[in-house]
Amino acid sequence: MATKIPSVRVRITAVDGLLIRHFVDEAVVFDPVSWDAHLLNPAAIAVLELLLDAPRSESEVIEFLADALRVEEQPHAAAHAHRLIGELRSLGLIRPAECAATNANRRDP
Amino acid sequence: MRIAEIPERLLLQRLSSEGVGVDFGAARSRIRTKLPACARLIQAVYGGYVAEDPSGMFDVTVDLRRVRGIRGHVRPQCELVCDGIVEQEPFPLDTSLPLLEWGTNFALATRLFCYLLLHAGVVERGGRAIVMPAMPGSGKSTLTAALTLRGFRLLSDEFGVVRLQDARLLRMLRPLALKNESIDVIRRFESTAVIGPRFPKTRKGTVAHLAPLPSHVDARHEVADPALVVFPRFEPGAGVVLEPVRKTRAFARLAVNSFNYQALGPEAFEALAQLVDESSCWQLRYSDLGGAVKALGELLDETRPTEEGMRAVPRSLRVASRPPE
Repeated sequence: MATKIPSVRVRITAVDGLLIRHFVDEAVVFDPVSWDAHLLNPAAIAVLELLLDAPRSESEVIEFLADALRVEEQPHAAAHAHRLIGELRSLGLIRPAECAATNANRRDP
Repeated sequence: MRIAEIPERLLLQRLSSEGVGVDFGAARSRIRTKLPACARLIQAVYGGYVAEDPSGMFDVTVDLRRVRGIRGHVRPQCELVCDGIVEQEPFPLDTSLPLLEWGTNFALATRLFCYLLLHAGVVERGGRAIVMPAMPGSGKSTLTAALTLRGFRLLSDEFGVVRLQDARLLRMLRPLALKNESIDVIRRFESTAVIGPRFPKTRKGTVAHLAPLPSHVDARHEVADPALVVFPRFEPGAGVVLEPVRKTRAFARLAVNSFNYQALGPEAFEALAQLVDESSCWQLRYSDLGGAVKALGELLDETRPTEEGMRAVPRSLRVASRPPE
């Protein structure tokens, strides 16, 4: 009998209680846990607001960024999204939302 | 009655007993001392203030006194007792006024948590304020003094007092401390300026205090709207150069220049964000003091709030004048 290994689809979300104030195309964000303020560029603020709206998977973030980027930059959307997510996570502004286990890998006995 | 109008002997009598209350606007201090020389100095630089009833509530009570003991006979010193605690190292007895000023500033910076306190010079004209945050040595006090001598009203040389609920600016009207070369610069800039005696060899070099004008003292409870945030920097040979600063960068620099931003957390964040949002933000590099005063006056006039926020300033104003070739 094969071992059942569920595939894990990690979704990410913005932490609760962030305060965001926009200045033209940039923004400052206040972290209610650390009381730190961060300056975010337009891409970072767009991703953060996407995640504030609802939890998303990394592939959804890539898709969102690809739509927002210029055509010539679209091939780099995945790397860009990966880096942004890493930076937002290291700042403590986003966190895993849930571990949605699916049984896609399950094999019938 | 203004302090300047009180006979010197009576002032010393009051200072050495119940004290004299002084209202700076956003805060009130009760001053006590038995040092006759200090009483004369207080009369010189606090002359425009009204002597308040000392029996009321005060944010800080300061008592300037001679240090007792054998050492005091060899090298006389004075110390400042703030609310019963000596918070500063003693100063030489002949620099009692600088100790009173720095000690009072320190006491206010560490006690007032009902406001966001920025380390900034602030002036206003027509109820619209210029906030000038800067590190020591940047020429902030010189520029603040010059502006107040050319039609702007002083809010504070040291504290940008921001009301948390609406980001309006309050006054913390204190004598303006001029240091080293800036004393003569301001004397040349305006010969009628009331500047107290020089105190050489203090920790910050030679210091003298510019007394606030009585009309500025009378306006100490008026609030002002934020209009400009200007980061000044004295730079020999620069002439007058104004360059726009991104608001996010202005926010960060203001937060770093605050006495209590970290302690206030979300309230400070919201107030500072509102202040920056309602202001036009600039870097000023200057070597020509008169030119800098003129450029800031024009910038304030040209920068008017609109429904969409602060209107962009005409490009011609962004570099008010070039340094001489």
